[in-house]
Amino acid sequence: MFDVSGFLKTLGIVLLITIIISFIMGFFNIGNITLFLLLMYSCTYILNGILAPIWNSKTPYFASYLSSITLTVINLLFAFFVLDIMVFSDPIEINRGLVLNSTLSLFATLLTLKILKRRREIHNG
Amino acid sequence: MVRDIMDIYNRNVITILILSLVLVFPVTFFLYFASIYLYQSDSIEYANLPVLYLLVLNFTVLFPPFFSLAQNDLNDMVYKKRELIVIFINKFGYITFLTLVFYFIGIFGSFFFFIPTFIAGCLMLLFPLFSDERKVGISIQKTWTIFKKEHIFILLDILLIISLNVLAWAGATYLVANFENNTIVYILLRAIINSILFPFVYFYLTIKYRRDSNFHIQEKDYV
Repeated sequence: MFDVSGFLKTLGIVLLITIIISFIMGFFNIGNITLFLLLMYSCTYILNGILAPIWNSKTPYFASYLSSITLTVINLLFAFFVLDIMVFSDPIEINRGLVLNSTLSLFATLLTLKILKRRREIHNG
Repeated sequence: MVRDIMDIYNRNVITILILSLVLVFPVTFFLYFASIYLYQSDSIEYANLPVLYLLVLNFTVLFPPFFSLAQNDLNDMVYKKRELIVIFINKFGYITFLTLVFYFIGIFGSFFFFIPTFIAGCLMLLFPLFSDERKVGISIQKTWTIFKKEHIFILLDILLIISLNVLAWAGATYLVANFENNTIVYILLRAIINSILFPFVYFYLTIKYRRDSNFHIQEKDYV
């Protein structure tokens, strides 16, 4: 069964670590905004893909997919309402964002599950 | 009641100091800087609503580590300081999301004579007490049970907390009234007041509403 508290735990930790990483990266004064965003986003979604199967071991891929979609939607809403960027005017951008982010998360989940399975095999003998 | 709170406070002074340095100060600083940003931004129409959410979040998000500390202390259990910080990190998403849900209920309940607003305020005060439950539904159910049992008297607790905050805030601003102040000074004052007052409020709520976790009081009741 899908575990809601594990899902919320994943979302919270990913949000917290995104805040901390972007706060620390602000000190290094990276001039290139594209590089900054790329680093931050890849950190966030790879971390999401790693953490989601830990607390949702029965439905790992669905948990990873759902939390990455939720994070993307939160990001779009924040950009629209707080930063006043017209994100909803371009459907192709939104589609690309959703696809790329969820793909990155799912790929990280696949790798994590492979590693966990391999480790369990080694432990069992 | 007050003596129990002071006992818990005295037994865990070092832990409370470390928690306020590691958690209360950074969280308060982040949330107040965020609220300053929201006020200065031109694109938000009603900045007061998200700022009030951030203020409520400042109270609720720091609840679980102090609640766990009080529960462990009342049950005579040994705990590590690292565990309390891990509890804060684990419960962050749960508390943030549920506070958002209750806050939306409170905002849209203002059309119904503010009755859902009061209910949501009471629930927002109490739901972090049951954050140690495994399932989200059970914790909301237990919060609702306590709300049905205590109903209007929870508002008195809210009044007590707010008036305590206002009193401390008035005293603290009186101390720095003659200096040249800027926003960071006020945020620093707010963080100090939070780190002093919040543990008292959390211990008070834990002792009052989580009697099942307090074995000593139960034994006394039986004898």
